[in-house]
Amino acid sequence: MDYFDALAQGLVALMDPTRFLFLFLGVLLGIAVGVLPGLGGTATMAILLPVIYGMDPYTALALLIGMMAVTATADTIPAVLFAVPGSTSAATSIIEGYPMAKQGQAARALGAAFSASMLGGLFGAVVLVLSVPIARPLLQQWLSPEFFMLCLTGVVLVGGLAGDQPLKGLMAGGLGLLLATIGGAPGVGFYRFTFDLPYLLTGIPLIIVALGMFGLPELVDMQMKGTSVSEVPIVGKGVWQGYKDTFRNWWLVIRSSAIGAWVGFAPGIGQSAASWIAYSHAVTTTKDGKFGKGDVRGLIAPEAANNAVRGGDLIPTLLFGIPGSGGMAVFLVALILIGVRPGPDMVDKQLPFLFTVVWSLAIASIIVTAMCTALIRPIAALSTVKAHIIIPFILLFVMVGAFQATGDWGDWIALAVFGVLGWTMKRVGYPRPPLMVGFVLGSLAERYLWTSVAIWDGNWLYRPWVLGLFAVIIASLVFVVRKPKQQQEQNEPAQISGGV
Amino acid sequence: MVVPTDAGGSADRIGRLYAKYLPKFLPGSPNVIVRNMPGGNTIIAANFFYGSKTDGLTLYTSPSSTALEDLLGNKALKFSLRELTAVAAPPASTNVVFVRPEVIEKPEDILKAQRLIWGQGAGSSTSFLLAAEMIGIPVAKAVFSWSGQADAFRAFLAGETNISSVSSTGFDAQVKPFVERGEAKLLMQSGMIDETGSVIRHPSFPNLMTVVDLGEKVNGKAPSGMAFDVFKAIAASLDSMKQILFLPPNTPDSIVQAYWDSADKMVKDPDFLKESSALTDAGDTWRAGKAFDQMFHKSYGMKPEASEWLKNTMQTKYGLVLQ
Repeated sequence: MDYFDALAQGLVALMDPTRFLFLFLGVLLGIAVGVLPGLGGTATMAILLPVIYGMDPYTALALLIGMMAVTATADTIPAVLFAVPGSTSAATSIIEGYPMAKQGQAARALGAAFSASMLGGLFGAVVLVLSVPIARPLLQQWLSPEFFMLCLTGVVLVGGLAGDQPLKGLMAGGLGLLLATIGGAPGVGFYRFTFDLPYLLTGIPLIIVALGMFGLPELVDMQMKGTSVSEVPIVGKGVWQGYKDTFRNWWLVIRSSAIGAWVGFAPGIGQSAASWIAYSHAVTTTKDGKFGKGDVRGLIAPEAANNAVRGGDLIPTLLFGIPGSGGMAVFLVALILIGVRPGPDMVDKQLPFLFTVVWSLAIASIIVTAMCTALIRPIAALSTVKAHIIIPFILLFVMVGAFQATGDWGDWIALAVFGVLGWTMKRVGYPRPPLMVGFVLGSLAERYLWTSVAIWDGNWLYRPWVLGLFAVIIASLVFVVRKPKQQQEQNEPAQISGGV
Repeated sequence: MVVPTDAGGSADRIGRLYAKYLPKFLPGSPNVIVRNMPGGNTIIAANFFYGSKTDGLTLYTSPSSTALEDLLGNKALKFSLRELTAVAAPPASTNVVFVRPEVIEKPEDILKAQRLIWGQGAGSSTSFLLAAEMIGIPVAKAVFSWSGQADAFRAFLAGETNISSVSSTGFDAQVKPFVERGEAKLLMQSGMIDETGSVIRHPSFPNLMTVVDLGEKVNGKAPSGMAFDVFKAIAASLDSMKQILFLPPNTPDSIVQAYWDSADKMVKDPDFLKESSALTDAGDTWRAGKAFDQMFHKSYGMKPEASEWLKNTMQTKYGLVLQ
C-alpha cells in the first residue's frame, strides 16, 4: 500500500466525530491521571480494558492514545508548583521548575514545559512514522552492554556535572545505585537487604522515593518559613516568555526529543530515565547555566524528552509486538482485545491503523498543550496561596499518592524514611537529583550488566559504543577533578539555600 | 478481590474478568472491587488474603508466582495453596520452545547445536530448563535477567540469545508472526499432564513434539528420573494452574457452593467466553466449580525432596537461586 495514502487514511479515520470526541475524553482523563501522584497511565489503561472491549477499534485507540500521550505533560503541574511529582517522570522537572516557581515564574516555567512537551510529543510521532523501514536493523544495533553503559553515563553525568559539588553529587548517585539493589537480584532470584520484610522483596517503589526526596522536604521548609511557594507575589505573567524560551532553544528541544525517542525505543528504560538523561545532556552541553537554581533549559529538555518517549516506545510495541514498558504491555493487550494484531503485519496490511496511532499521538499533544496553557493563570496562582492553607492539601495529595504504590503500610513508612533522608540531604548540601538518577537507572544498569557478563563474559567491553561511552565517562570525571576548587567553594552557600 | 500484581499484569486481566462476570451469577449480584496489591513477589497480598474474613467477600486471583513460592517452601508465605478452595481457572496452557533458524535444521539436531544461549524472562517457569536437563540439550548459557517474557523475546530477535520459550497464551500474539516469517523455529512443547500422569500434546499444538516425544526421538528412550518427576510436578502444579480464583480456608459450605455454582454458569456464558478468548489459550476450556477444586487438590503439590533437588540443580548448574 502506498505510504502517503495510508497516512491520509489514518487521519480520515480519526476525523469521525465520535472518535475525535473519545480522543478528547482520553486527553481529559490523561490530565487528571497526570496531575494526581500515584495514579499512573498504566493502571488507568488496565482499568479501561473492560470498557473498551467491543468498542470500534479506532475509537478505543483514540481514547487510549489520548490518555497516555498527555500524562507526561500534565504531571509537570504539581512538580513545578509544589515539588510533588505527578508521576515518576516529572521528578526531573522539579529541579529547575520549582526554583522558578519560588522566584514567581511559575507561569513561565509551565509555559516552557507545556510547549516543550508538545514539540517532544510531535517529534515522537514523526519518529514513529520514519522508523517503519529502519526499526528492525536498529533493534540489532544496541544490545545489553550498550544499555548498561548508557545507564552508567547518565548517573555519572548528573552526579558529577549537574551540581556545583561533583564529589557529593557522585556520592549521592552511588547511594541511589545502592538503594536500587534492595529486593530481588536480576537473573538469579536472590534477595538482598530485605531483612525478612515482605515489603522489600520487590524493592522500594520509585514513586515513594520521588515523593519522599522532593515533595516532603519542600513541604517541611515551606511550613518552617510560613510563606507561600512563590517568594514574590506576582505569578500570572510569563506564559509567552515560557513559549519563547522553548522556541529559542529549538536545537536543545530537538536533541532532547531524539534522546527521549531513542530511550523509548530501548527496552525497559522508560520515561523517568529519559527525563534524567535529557537533563544531564542539557547540563553538560550548555555553557553559563545556572542549573539547580531555575534554569529554564533544564526544564525544557526533560519535558521534550519524556513526551517523545511515547513515539519511541510504540515502535517495538506496534512493529514487533514487543512492549518496551509496563504501559505498553497493557496497551498491547488492549490492541488484542479490539482485534488488532501488532507485529510484523502492521507494516503492510495494517498501515492505516498504524498511522491513526501517529495522528492520535500528534493531535493529543496539541490539544493538551492548548488546554493546559489556557489553565496556567489559575493554576499558577496556587503558588501564592499561604503555606498554612495549602500544606494540608498537598500533604494529603502526597500521602494518598504514596499509598497507591502497593496499598501496604510499608508505603507510608518508606515515604517517611525517604522524606527524612531527602530533607537531611537538602540541609547538609548533598544534591538530591543524583540519588534519584542512581535509583532510577540502578536496577536497569544492574540487569544489563548481569546480562552482558552472562552472555559475553569480559568481551562485552570491546564493543565500539561501549568504548565510546566509557570515553565520555572518563572525560567528565577528568573535567570534574580539574574544575577549580575555589569555584566550588564559592558556590556552596547558594547550593544549600536556593538549589533543589 | 485481591490481585497481587500491578494493574495490567496477566493475573490482573483475568482477575478483572472474574470481577466483571462472576457477579452476574452470584445471589444478589454483588459488586466486585479489584484491589491491586503488588510487591513482595505476591506474598504480601497472599498473606493479606489468608488473614481476611471467611464470609465470601474476599477472593484471591493467584498467579503462578504464589504457587512457586509455596512449592519451594518460602516461609514468608503464611500458608499453602492446598488449604484454599478453588473456584475457577482459565484453560490450561503449555510452554513452547523455539530457536533462531540458523541454530538447527530440524528439531532432532538440537543435541548437536553449538553455543546455545537460552534467554528467559524473570519469574518464568523453570520447566523449560528441566526439559533441557531431561533430554540433554547442550545449553551453553542460561540467562534469566530479562525483565519479562517480552524483553527476552526482544533479545531473541536482536540475536543476543538464540533459544527461548513462551507460554501458549502469549504465543499467537507475539511469536507466531515471526514463526510464519521463518525468523523463529519451533522446537518442542512442555505439553500437558493427563489424568494418568503422562505428558500429552496440548490441543493448540497437535503437531509439535512434546519434550517426551523429542527425548524418545533423540535418545531412543523416554525421559525418566528425578528431573522428569520434578518436570511433571511443575507442569501439573504451575503451568496448568495459573490465575486460579480462590476462597479462603474454612469458608462456610453454603458460600462455597454458591461460588462453585456461579463459576459453573460463568464459564458457559457466551459473552464471558468471547471476551476471555483474547487472554487465554483457545485449545483448552475453562475449568470451574467443585470438579475443578477436586482436580486442583489432586494434582497440585511437590514433594519436599523434589523441591530440594530443584533448588540444588538450578543453583549448581545454572546459577539460579530459588528461595
